[in-house]
Amino acid sequence: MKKAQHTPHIPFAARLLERRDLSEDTTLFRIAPEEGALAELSSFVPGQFVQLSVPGAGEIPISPADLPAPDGTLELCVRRVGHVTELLHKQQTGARLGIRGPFGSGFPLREMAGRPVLLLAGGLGIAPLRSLLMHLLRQRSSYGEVTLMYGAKQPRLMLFREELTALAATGGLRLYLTVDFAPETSEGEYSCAIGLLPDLLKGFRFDAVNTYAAVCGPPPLYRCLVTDLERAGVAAERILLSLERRMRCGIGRCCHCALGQKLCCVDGPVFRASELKGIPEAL
Amino acid sequence: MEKTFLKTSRLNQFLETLRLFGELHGPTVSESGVHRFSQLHDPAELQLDYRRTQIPPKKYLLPFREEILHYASGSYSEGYAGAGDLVLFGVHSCDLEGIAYLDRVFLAEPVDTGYATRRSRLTLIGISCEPDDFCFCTEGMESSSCDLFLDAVADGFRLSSHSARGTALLTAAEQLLEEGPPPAPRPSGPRLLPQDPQLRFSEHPLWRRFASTCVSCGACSVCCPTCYCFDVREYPSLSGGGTRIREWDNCLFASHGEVAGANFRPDRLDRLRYRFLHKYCGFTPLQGITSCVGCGRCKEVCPVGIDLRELTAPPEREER
Amino acid sequence: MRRMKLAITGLTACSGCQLTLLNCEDELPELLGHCELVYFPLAESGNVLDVQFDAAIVEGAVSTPKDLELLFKLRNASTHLVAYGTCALFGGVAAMNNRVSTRRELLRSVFGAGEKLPESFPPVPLANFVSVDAAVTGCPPEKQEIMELVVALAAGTLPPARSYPVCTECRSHENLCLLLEKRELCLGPVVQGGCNARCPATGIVCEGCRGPVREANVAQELELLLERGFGRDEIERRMSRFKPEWDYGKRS
Ligand SMILES: Cc1cc2nc3c(=O)[nH]c(=O)nc-3n(C[C@H](O)[C@H](O)[C@H](O)COP(=O)(O)OP(=O)(O)OC[C@H]3O[C@@H](n4cnc5c(N)ncnc54)[C@H](O)[C@@H]3O)c2cc1C
Ligand code: SF4
Ligand code: SF4
Ligand code: SF4
Ligand code: SF4
Ligand code: FES
Repeated sequence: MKKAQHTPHIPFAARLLERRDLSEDTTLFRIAPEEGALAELSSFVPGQFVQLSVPGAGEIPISPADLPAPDGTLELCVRRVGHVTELLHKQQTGARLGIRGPFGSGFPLREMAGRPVLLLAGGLGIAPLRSLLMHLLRQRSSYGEVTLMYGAKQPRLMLFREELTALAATGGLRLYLTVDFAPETSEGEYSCAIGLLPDLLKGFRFDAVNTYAAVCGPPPLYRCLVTDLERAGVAAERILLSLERRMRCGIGRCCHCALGQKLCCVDGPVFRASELKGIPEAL
Repeated sequence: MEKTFLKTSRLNQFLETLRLFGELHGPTVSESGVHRFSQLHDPAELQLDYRRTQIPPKKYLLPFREEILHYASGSYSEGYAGAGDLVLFGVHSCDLEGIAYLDRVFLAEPVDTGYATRRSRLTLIGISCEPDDFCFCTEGMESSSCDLFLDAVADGFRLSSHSARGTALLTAAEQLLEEGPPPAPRPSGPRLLPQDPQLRFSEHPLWRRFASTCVSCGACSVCCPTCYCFDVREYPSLSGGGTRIREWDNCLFASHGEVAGANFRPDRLDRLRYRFLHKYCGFTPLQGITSCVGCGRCKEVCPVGIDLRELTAPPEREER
Repeated sequence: MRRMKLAITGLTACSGCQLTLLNCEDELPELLGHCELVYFPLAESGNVLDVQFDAAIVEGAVSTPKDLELLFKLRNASTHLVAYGTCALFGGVAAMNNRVSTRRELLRSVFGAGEKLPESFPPVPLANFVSVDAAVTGCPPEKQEIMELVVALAAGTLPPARSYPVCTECRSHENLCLLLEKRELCLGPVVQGGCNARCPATGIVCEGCRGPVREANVAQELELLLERGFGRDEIERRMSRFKPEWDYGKRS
């Protein structure tokens, strides 16, 4: 077959190599993009997203859960919520998928160098932040203290828990886990606090003036966390939010993802809280 | 003196010459009485005194519904089938400017293949017009975003070329033309002035009225020469393949601002604000550029007479 | 590949929706390679009810105890229950008179006074009794839409949703607007599109056979029609032809 010349809307092929269920509705997929996609993907910066195609169902934006591995494979952590993710979750290893990207802006890594970083993840928000976390830990000496606060609704919905606790055990990461709701049987076992992320943040002493905060979670989370972080002394320029919008094209054309006059797919999905001031519909 | 004047009596011959450059389309009227651009089989079909077509020429560049990808035997391939040469005759300045705006969106990097191919095969021939009550363009403006422009005067048309293709057209039609003074250069336009983005939160009482009367019928954007947003959907086939389509969308539909579990534009008021922002203030990278070219279609086709421009003027006194 | 097990049936309805499916001659042979019509009484191609179905495609409104029994049975036995057609979704033509005459009067006029009347209640949508996983609207539905659904089910998912009114397709196909230009009683603005504006394309108003579009501005449509000189009764009669209950005060 003739190799498709690279046009922006044509996905590269990718093969599903491995899948690991993380919770009842969330699975970690490892995919191997075809040769042609690798050069582009190698420029991936944590916080950027890819457009993942599930043939027959459509295309969805996903923020990779880690940087591409040296062999070019990519980890995507996806929750089953609708018609595309439903079909994705039914795919077995070996299945053919499609990929475009990476798109959008990632976290300003250069600027964050040498500074403490506080990651705040709510629910599935851990997925995009995990690539940032992995990067920070791999380049551990280039950054200040790394802290992850991660809240889930229930212990069994907490993704990557073992992996995260193992990382914390190496000493490179300060880890705080919290659940909104814990069924009786699980108490103690998980060593996580009960409550909401903002509660966790309230009791946290840190170098607010120098810290960069990276936030990702369900829409209501941003509003309260931004206020709390600012109150704690983190400047709005250093509060980085990874936002979600409905995306159709990923390249600034379809207009579904606008917040104010900015397009989430081009100007984001990572925004500084300061950029979003005056855009009430942003958060 | 150059040969740039076309007598009205020679118009039909001129149209025949245009056919050398591609399939000839122009303003016509349908059986039910709707003005539209369609193929001109016979010059008699031409409706040169039309005010505006229901659907602007964007349909030639960005069809209502289009297959953009096909999936078969393990990979996606281009769904766009290719286009032939097309000459669009008799386009008003507002619509030419509308195309110029779409060009900025779809010819910017990364270039949209389907759009770019169709665009490169499209020859645009503009014509001067008389505004009616719905138009709000600045009179006397004339768009140069075309290959050739015809300025209608008493007994004919003054032609001006705006591209190499336009010049080629003039050469091909040379024996039909007469000498005449070239049309006086006119300011290119028309476009509305950009508006202050904060106006979308103004206290103007019309916001509420529009929000309660808009029926989200979609006509305003379907008919707008510069509305281009689209939905993308994919359908599987029984053979294991699939087709991905793109289709015109509208920000006044409930689904436009949805994500899993939330809607960032939950009410019509939010959606109207969004529309206002996109039309008159622009999004990245066209921020600060208004896309409204003043064609008047949205107001004419809106079943409840919504005209967003009224929001840019201070409210009238008697408003309750 | 495992063939999908399908049940296709009708409750109180005219079988028109099921016929639409049978009329997909081009696709049916290939479709049968992907699914097994375990229960499809209309096509006499299966009469087995006591298995687990991947999907049950159910036409018609619920109006008799027998309808209800079959519906419950299918719901319990199926992974996906599909409300197929306007009657299944909104009550449809069968329910047109729910608000103007009692069921008893209606039955009398059909079966004659003095006869023993069959057991029946006012026709209502499937969703009044069971949860519905997917819907294909229309009276009758568009071939393309039912095929999209069945093919997506066979692929393991549901088709993407579209939610715009009839006007969107109507205008984009360059039809004359009957509501604006001819002041006719067109329901296009409040009715779910997807039919390529079949009726207005031929110069006939949209009668609303596909039921309400999402967030239909019913109050404004009513106002528009009243302004054009139609009486409230006539408007309500027209609106209730395919869906008996409309909230005439609803704007979003
Ligand atoms: C930058 C970015 C990064 C992301 N990263 C991740 C990630 O790492 N992991 C992840 O799991 N997700 C991520 N997401 C979210 C992910 O893209 C969505 O969950 C996905 O697009 C859902 O697609 P779907 O087709 O499965 O769902 P859809 O079928 O589109 O449905 C999603 C939900 O919306 C509802 N819905 C959709 N359309 C309609 C309609 N027309 N009418 C009514 N309801 C409707 C559905 O009922 C469902 O509940 C990200 C999103 C963005 C923008
Ligand atoms: S044409 Fe008018 S009623 Fe229809 S969507 Fe546009 S503003 Fe709303
Ligand atoms: S907004 Fe209205 S007047 Fe302006 S270009 Fe679009 S349709 Fe024409
Ligand atoms: S104004 Fe609305 S309908 Fe028009 S292009 Fe922009 S988002 Fe789409
Ligand atoms: S004819 Fe009816 S469906 Fe068509 S645009 Fe007018 S109101 Fe809408
Ligand atoms: S996803 Fe299409 S414009 Fe952003």
